[in-house]
Amino acid sequence: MNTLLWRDLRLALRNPRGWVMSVIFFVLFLSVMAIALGGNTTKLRPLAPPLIWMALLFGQLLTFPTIFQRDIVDGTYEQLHLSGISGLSITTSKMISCFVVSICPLLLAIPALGIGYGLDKTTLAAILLSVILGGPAIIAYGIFSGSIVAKEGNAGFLVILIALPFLVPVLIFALGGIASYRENGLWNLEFQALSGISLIAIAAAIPATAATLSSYQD
Amino acid sequence: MINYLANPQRFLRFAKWAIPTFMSAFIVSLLLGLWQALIVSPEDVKHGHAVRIMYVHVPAAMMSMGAYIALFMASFVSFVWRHSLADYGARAFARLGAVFTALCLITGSIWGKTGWGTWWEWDGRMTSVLVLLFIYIAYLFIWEFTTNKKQAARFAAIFAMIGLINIPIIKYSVDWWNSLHQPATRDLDTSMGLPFYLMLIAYMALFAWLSTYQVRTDIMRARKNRENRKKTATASIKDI
Amino acid sequence: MPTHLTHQHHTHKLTFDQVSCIKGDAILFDKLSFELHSGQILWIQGDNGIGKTSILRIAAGLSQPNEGNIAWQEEEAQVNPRHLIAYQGHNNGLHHDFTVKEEAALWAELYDNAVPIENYIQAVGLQEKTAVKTAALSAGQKRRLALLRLMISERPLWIMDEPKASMDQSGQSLITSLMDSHLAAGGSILAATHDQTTPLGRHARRLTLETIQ
Repeated sequence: MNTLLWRDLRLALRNPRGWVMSVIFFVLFLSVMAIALGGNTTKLRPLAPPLIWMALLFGQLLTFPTIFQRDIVDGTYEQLHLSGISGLSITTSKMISCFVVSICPLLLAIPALGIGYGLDKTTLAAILLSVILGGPAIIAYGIFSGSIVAKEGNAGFLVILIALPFLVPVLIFALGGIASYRENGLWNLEFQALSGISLIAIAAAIPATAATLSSYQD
Repeated sequence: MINYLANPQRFLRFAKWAIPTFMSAFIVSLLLGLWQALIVSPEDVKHGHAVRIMYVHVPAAMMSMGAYIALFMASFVSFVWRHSLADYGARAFARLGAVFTALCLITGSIWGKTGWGTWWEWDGRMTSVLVLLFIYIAYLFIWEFTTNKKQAARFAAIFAMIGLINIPIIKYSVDWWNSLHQPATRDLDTSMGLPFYLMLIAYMALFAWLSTYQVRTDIMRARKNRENRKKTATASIKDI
Repeated sequence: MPTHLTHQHHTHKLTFDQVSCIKGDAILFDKLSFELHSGQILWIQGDNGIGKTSILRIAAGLSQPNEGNIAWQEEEAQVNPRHLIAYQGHNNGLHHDFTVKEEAALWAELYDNAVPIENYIQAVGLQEKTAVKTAALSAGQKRRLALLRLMISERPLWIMDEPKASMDQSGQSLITSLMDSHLAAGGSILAATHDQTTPLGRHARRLTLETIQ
């Protein structure tokens, strides 16, 4: 498992198309949005949480069409399988490496964007927490949809179509949690629900992705 | 029942009498239902004749969910036992489910115009039905998009099962979200009378008729492909 | 192959029993039966697209046949194909962004092989390329790296798809000597080529797939 995780991390870091692009998309999207909305921070402030979440969702989903493409097309997936590694380990390792490589850089980018949107410390903390709690669900369903399209090109649309409906509750509770953070604090009801949904997403997506990957061998 | 019908031969025998039966059940219950709903049943005190769209809307809403449960069961059978008949069924259920869901949204929107004075309201029920429609569309796109149909069957079945876990979560989250910014908008007491049940039977008969028909068509197509199969090579082993 | 890299294998057996494979509207092969024992090589010969790769993938447990049974046995006991098989497919199964050394180290770790990887790299003649990314290797060098994984795996049954494709003269004799020492150590080989003229291995059985006119 460690060998596998180390492999995934190295591959992900060496392929800047994935994580650099998603950070750039995130910053670009939010900057262009600020321009489109007139650049007035009093107007931008209340819109920041939904806009940041939109940028997060779409920026992340853009990286998933190719997440398993190399492994499947190169034949490395079947070699891993033959060496005795289970699909569950392959999927879990991919999820962890995705979280480290593509969510962590955003945690650094959000405070910088917070300045542009005139966010105070409390809101910023709430947004960061929502990303940490909701990120695993995005990655879980993103990886699942990426495994479905691993053999096809131009799959961006299908990845979004598969993953986004499942992410509606994540979006709702993430934004709900940010809204009630000031009154109800860190561990508010919405953030509890968000964590629960992330756990369900991981529990459902890991076996589902492993099953999808194994059907490439038929 | 599932095991019995999993054999294509037996399914074709079943379809021979089932298709006309379901079709006649649909026509009879639809005519009776429409007569009851449009002519016999009284106007609503508050909403007048507009209330009659409920006899189309509510059964469609129930069928949109019912079709998903059928889709889930067929997907489960396909995933575990790899019966191709279950795949044919799942696909037919998904198509019909998408149509019922769309019908539910359209009639709901018409009702919204007369009831609330607006075509669309981000009401909890309508929003979760909308997300359900997206799930159906995603399911059907997985079939279209995946080149290898054997793999498509696996992917679609897995997706449908993950969908079933998510539908209640979506439903509760949307209801919670909706309760934040507006009070419940439903003020109609839909009395579940005779016309309603007749219409529900008509929808179910339509669902059964069209999906049986679709599965029969798919079986015959697969059979034709099998007849066209040709042996392409001979194998021989010898020492050298 | 240097003797310290040869792993002695237990007796084992691969059995195809009435196996059929259907792709679309073509029956690729029908009721194919054979056995492959320790120390044996079965050479599958046939034109492109006739079903060689399908046989290999079914033998490796990577695809399911439409009909028939396959059995993998080691010392008379049924085992999971993954305990028996090393597969060199049409794809080399290498990571573009890894260097030769990283690639070798990864598989050595996954296969729990403690022999220093330098020995294997030397054995396939890539000792000057250790720091080169696999994407930058020539087609023949990639095949050599895939051969290295077969050795590292220490699996008794090698399944090889067009092993000599894109190999130069020294590469071809490398393959021949690796195959010979693998067979001598009690291993077995199932290999496919479209080339009819050069037999694979000295005492091969040949399975010929011929198009029906």
